[in-house]
Amino acid sequence: MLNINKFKLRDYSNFVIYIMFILLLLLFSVLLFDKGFLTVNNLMNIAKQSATISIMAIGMTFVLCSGEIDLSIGSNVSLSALITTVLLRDYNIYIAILGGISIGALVGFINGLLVTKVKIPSFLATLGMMSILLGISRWISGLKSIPVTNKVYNFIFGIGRIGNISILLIWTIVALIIGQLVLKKTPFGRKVLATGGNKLAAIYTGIKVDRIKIETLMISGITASLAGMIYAGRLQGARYTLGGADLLTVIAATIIGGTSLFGGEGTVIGSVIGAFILGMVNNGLILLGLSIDQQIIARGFIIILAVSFSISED
Amino acid sequence: MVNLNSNDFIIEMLKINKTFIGVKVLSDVDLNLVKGEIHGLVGQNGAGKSTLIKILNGVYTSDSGKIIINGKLIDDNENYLNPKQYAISTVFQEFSLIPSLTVGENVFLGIEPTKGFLTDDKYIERETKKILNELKMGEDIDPKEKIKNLGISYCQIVEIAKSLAQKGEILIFDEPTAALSYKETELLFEVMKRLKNKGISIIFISHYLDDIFKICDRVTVLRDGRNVFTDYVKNTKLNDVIKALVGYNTYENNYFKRKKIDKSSNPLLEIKYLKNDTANKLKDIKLNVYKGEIVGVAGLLGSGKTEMLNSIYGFDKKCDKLLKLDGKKIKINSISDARKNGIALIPEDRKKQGLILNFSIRDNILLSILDKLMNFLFFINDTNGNKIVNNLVQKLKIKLENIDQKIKYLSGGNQQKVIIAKTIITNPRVLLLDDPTTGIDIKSKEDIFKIIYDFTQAGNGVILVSSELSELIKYCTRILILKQGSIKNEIDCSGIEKNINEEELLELI
Ligand SMILES: Nc1ncnc2c1ncn2[C@@H]1O[C@H](COP(=O)(O)OP(=O)(O)OP(=O)(O)O)[C@@H](O)[C@H]1O
Ligand SMILES: [Mg+2]
Repeated sequence: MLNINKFKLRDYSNFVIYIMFILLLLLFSVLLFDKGFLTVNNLMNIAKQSATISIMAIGMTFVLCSGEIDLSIGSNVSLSALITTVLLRDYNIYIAILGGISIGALVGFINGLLVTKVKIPSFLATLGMMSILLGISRWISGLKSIPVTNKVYNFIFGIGRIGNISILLIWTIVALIIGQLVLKKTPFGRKVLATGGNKLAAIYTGIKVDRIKIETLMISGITASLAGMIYAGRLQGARYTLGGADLLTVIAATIIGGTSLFGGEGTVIGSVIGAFILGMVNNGLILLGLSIDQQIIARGFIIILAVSFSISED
Repeated sequence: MVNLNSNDFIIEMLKINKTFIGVKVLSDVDLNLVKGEIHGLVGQNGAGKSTLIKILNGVYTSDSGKIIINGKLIDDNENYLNPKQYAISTVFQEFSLIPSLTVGENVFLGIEPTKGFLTDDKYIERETKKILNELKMGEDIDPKEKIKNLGISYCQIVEIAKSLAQKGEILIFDEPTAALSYKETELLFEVMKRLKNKGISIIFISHYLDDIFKICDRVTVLRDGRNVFTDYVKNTKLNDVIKALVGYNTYENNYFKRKKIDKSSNPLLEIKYLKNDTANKLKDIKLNVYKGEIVGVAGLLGSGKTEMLNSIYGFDKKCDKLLKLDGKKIKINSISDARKNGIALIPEDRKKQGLILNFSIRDNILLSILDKLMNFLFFINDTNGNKIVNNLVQKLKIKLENIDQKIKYLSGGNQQKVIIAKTIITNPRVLLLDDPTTGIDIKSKEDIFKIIYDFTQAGNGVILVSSELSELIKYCTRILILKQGSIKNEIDCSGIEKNINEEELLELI
């Protein structure tokens, strides 16, 4: 039996972020009422814009909870997107999807081996990987963008709607539900949190922490490649620059969402809300009519503010 | 009883009350410390000892009550009472050492001597060495060694050295001997006596009542957050203290019977050989554990006790060994191999190796059986989990508010019980115990050994490493003496009531 009704408060103890989300929503609704912030169209837009960040933030939550970090997601996005589009052009949609996901998983697996077997701190291992992947993307694409003409692909990964709801929002919700259940309800999720909470105690308990770390980095790789495929579908093409600015946004979203940078603590739902907060801020700042420079500065302030609220004291 | 008045006291704590999130932990507790005395503070796990001294230290503030130090009333509103200002130095139950710093740097943390703009490293080294020498540990601990490379006993000694370096008028020791063996404990007592003669006043928390009677001038007993007994040790009988501690008359129990061990069939666990050249060099250890046995291992710090258990358990991989379980050869290259074969270990350091501190009590206990609790949806079966946990909490009498409480808020002894719980539920055949009753009160210790005894009576076996000789003598069917990585002696006590006393055992170590 599914124990949905028995969800416990402790899984959602991070109230601050919900309050923050609602306050920001109210604030923008009032400030930007004339500019149409609160229209279904605009809200759906925010959801669409936040989909890639949300999905990557879910993967990042697992990695951070296990006490590691994955800096390679940004360039993993562009590489997966490029490979997918090339496979789509030369073969068919099935091979393209499979190929994209496999690239993400493979990158995560290699990251995992570097961290657990070669014992390079994940910060450095994935930093190196970030550069390698970016180089490969530039090389195989020759700095050119590759268009996607496959209608089905573009529907599934970008412009599709089911009823009135963007398919990207559906992707986000599906990933959110799976991620939250896996992290909080399965033995695997519990082991991830234990590994990040106290690695030595986890080892003494018989948990294979190396395997857990490899698996979380693979999850992060897979979510990055999924985000890459969504970019390709949404923009109907891939380029080596895709996802280039996403790394810090993803980390900010997870930390705002209450995940600890030091491992052992975090929720998937928090990270997704963190991503939505950042998406909403982006949207709001644009509607406010700020220049790009002003937007960037304001964003920085808001991130610092949000994180200071969400980091718990103890 | 001699009447003491306020002039005799260096510390007076009056009517201290403390509540944690709705739970009353201390009720109207009085505690005073006479200048130049050693004052024992005892009580069961969760009685409030550590909380009381944390209030004295300003780590917590009391809800009400007065603290007078050296005749000066400490202002209630003063949020943080600076211990240094009042020359109080404390060894807390939880360690406060910084792993990445050296022994010397830790000892002088916050009071670094300077030479110009720089810290005077030479001085730090020299003085640290001096203090360690006082504790007769100058040979064993290098002031330049990093803390993270030291085992728990050495860390405890460094903690003590750190408190001595502060040169306080008042010393507070919260279970300083829990992780020490007999020899170091004796050395610490020597130092304490010397300090007392210099006029320094000491509060000493311990679960070892013999030690309290050996070294203290007065003793205070806390029970459920109340002071139920304070008197001079010389006017007190051991039984008075025990009675005050548990709240009722205890009786000698005959639960533990050292049955004759049947050695005709295959041993449960056979260690044909075990060698480990790294770290503490284990040399060719051979050992059989039969069904129903509790095999004790005694030895000094550094004799290789912990290393031996870690090697059997597969934590230490650089060892050469041949093991048989029920007569069948088993390969243990990792901890999950050990677990699969029914070998479980309770490690020596509960905070570092035993617990996930930000997990709840429940999640800590269930961590070792997650896969077994998985239902067909791959979810953890919470209903079953809760049932198992509640059962164990009752069986082990773990004192808690509810099982979803974070483990870090449990008292030290109750945390240790959680580790025992999480190990027992894996249904092991062989339990490796590395000082499993560290920090556990006398009553709970009995409870735990009952569980261990029942466990062996069901046809299982135990290897018990302990720094507490009385524990080994009381519960083991056999005691091995480990010296520099080899088993030097073996005392068989199966089927006999008691055939060795502590002094004799100490001689052999
Ligand atoms: N920070 C805290 N928050 C909530 N409860 C706490 C906190 N600290 C201690 N407690 C509770 O207060 C009670 C007293 O704890 P304390 O640590 O003082 O016991 P103790 O006498 O030192 O026990 P032990 O012998 O096990 O060390 C315990 O029931 C514990 O769970
Ligand atoms: Mg305590």
